[in-house]
Order: sequence, then structure tokens, then C-alpha cells
Amino acid sequence: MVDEWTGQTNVDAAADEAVAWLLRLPSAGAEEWRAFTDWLEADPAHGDAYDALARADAELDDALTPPDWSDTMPLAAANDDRAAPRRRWALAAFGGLAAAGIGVVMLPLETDRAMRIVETPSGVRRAVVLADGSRIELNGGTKLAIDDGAARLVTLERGEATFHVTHDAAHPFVVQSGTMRLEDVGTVFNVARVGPHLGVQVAEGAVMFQPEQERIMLTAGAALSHLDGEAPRLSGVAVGDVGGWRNGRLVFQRTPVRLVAAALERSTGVVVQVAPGLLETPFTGSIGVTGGADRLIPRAAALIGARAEQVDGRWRLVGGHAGP
Amino acid sequence: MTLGGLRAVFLAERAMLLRLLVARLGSVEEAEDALQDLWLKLETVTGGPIAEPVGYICRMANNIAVDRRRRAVRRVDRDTGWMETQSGADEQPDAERALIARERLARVEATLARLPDRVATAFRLYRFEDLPQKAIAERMGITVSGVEKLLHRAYLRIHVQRPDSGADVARAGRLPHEEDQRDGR
Repeated sequence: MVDEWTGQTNVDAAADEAVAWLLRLPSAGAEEWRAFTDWLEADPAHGDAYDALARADAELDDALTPPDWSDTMPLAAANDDRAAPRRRWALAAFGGLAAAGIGVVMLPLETDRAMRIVETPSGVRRAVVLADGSRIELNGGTKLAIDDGAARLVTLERGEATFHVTHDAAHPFVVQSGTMRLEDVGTVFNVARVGPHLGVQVAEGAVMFQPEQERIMLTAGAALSHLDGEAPRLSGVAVGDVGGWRNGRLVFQRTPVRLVAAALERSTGVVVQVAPGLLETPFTGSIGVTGGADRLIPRAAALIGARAEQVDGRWRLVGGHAGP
Repeated sequence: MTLGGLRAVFLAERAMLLRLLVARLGSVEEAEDALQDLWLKLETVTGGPIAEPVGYICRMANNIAVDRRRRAVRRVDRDTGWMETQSGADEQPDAERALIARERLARVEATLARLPDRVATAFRLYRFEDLPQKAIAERMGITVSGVEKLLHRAYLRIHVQRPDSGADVARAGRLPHEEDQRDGR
């Protein structure tokens, strides 16, 4: 078997077929499972190949499950819109019942209405599905408090998240951050909090900013930037760029370098400081989050027109040239 | 689907489930044990419609098989003596498991960094962000079978062909929109 990409000819045929099965089984029906069993029975090498692959893939679930996560994740969060053996980590409470492809199965609402805290370390992303089907993708360095009871209230304490909200006119979905509130009108939107700064970008539908006060309606393509104690500033954003971090692409439009640094930190998990003179310098452009921080940060610095210095494992962006 | 409904499906498909588990676990005795586990676990599934109940139960069975195989392999590792057992505990200590998991993740990240961007992006979305293949296809602007091809390459490289030689670095293709870009300041 020749892998067209690598040109390697030594990929074991059984391993290759095992990968195909591993990718197909999450959405497989009865007939495919029968075919899978036939395949396993046809040759012991098939079973060995699949077994090794399935175990290696399950090891990865451990890696994606911070130890404190499974304790705070109620089962309702395992709701998903598709079959997913890799949701297993969310079901740790089942004693390893492997989530069995959640498929379109709706697990019951939790009776415990207490707020649960969902937190990601820098550099680690996560997705959470709420009981109502709304989905939240958390960037690294993010802390959310979720009340997915009747109130549908999520508090963004810090970091960044993209919300895919299942609209329900009777029960508005509210995102609170600091003293600011956002209410959805059926929506996909991204919210980022860095200290006193709140940024909101809307990809689909609409969000009401401060429904009890200013009542600013943000529709698809709108961006809002708000600094505590000041008036919000509105601008535009390409809809495809909203929550670009999810695809490893950070897009900025006249964004102060301190917020660019915070975005790099969330994505890489590496601390990125900024020299005082550079903090408010605006940057417009996009940065692909690829490769290790060792290459990424200097690349980003060059793009910003700065230099990156590394001291004791921390990166620092300093003024790089005398240009404009 | 009610518990009764799932149990009915289980009973109707018992022979097929046993075949699957024997093929996965290599012994009829262990497969029967796993089937018993599966029966008990049906009780923990509550509420909601299940579109494909047979597929659903097969996934549960297969996941039980994966867990059993992982435990068996861990036991073998211990019995071969490189690791001290802790009063018969079946699981490794949390800290140690976390360490192994982190190393594993670091290896995956290193492999991803050497893969073409599109392959790495598909894998990240699928495996780290739990997106279905269909959603990945929409987001990347390609077909579902295109996504499956990308994932296939990623899985081969990450789980099958490791360690990676890195020989393909120079061949890594990139989507233009994923490249860095400075538009001004």
C-alpha cells in the first residue's frame, strides 16, 4: 500500500484498514458493524491492528482530560450532535463506559443546578455542549461559570470562547462578563475577556449587548470592543474570521499589541509579555498558529514590527525598529 | 429510547454483539463478561431519542472492549515487572497517568507540527475539538470524504507510523489563507 502523501510503501495494509474503520465506526449503523466484525474475523492481523490503534487513540483521551475536568463535568455536557467515542472523557463518571457514541442520544438534564466551573489552561482548547444543545468552544486560558438550568447563563471570567447558541425565545441565552451582559438572538459569536477589555464578534444571527441598558444590537459581521468604564466601540469583522483561533488562525484589526499577546498566550500556553511602549500599538493582520512557540512568537513579533526576546522561558515583545 | 427499548435491541442483536466482542477480545469467556457489563450499562443510558440503536449499542460494546484491552495491556506491563504495583490497584496512580498522557500529547503535537497544515487542522478539529466530520467539511470548505482522507493521513502518521522521520517537512502544503499576513498597523 502506498500512502500517496508520504510515498511510503511500508504502511501495513491491516493498519491502513484499521484507521478507516476507526474513522467510520462512530457513525456506523448495524450493517457496517457487521462488516467490521467480518473484517476482524477474516484475519487475526486485522484485530491486532485495530486493537493497537484503538488503544493508542484512547490514550489520547487521557491526554485531553485534565484530572480536574471530569469531576466538574456533569454528564449533560456529553450531549453532542454526533456519534463520538472520543467524548469518553466527559463520561468518566460512568466508570469508563466509553461514551458509546453519543449519537443523537440526549442524556438527561442534570438535576444539580449549581454553577459549574469550566477552565482551560493556556494552550489547551476544549468544547462543552450544554444541556440545551448550545455549544461552547473554549480557547486556552479561559474560565467560564455555566448555569445551564432554566436561566441559560454563562459567565466568562477570563479568556475567550465561541458560543453556538440554540435559540429559545422563551429562555434567552445570556453571557455575562464583568458587569457587561450579552443576550443572544440565535447565534454564533465569540467573546474574549482580557482584564478590563471585552471583545465581542458575531458570526451568525445577532446578539444584544447590555440588554437592560444600551441595548446595542450586534448582527453578523459586527464587532464590539469595550474597556471597563468606557463607552463601547463598534467595528466590523469578516464573518469567517470570528473565533479564528479554533482553526489556528488569529485575525486582528487595529488590535492593541497587548491583546495580540494575550491571544498568542491563550493559543500557545506560553507567557507573552509586552514592553510598555508597545502595549497600545495597533496591529492589523493574521497570524497562523502553527509550529512551536519557539518559531511562532518570533514570527508574530516580526509581523507586528517588534522583536521577540526569550528570558527564563517567558517571551517578551519589544520595539524592534524605528519604522512607522 | 427507553431502557426496555435498548434491552430489546440488545437481546435481538445478542449473537452479533457476542461475535463482535469475541473478535475484539479474543476469548469467548471474556466476551461473555463484557456482554454482561454492557447489559448493566444500558441502565445508565437514560432519555432521549437514539437514531441508530444498533449502532449505538455496538459502539458501547466496542468501547467496553477498548477499556478491557487497555486494562489488560497495563496489567501485562506491570507483570513484566518494570512498574511496582500498588496494593492490587487496577489503575496507575493519577500523577503517573497524567504524566504519560502529557508526554503522549506532546508527541502528537510534535507530529502535527510536521504534517501539512490541512491535515493537522482536520485532526485538531476532529480530535481536540470534537467536531463531527461534516462540520469540519463545512468549516474547511471541502467534502466530507476529503475530511476523511485528511484524517486518515493524520491517524496513520500519529498512531501507526510513529516515530516520524520528519522527512516530509519540505512537502508540507499550506492553504494560502492560513499563512501569516500583515495588513498594516
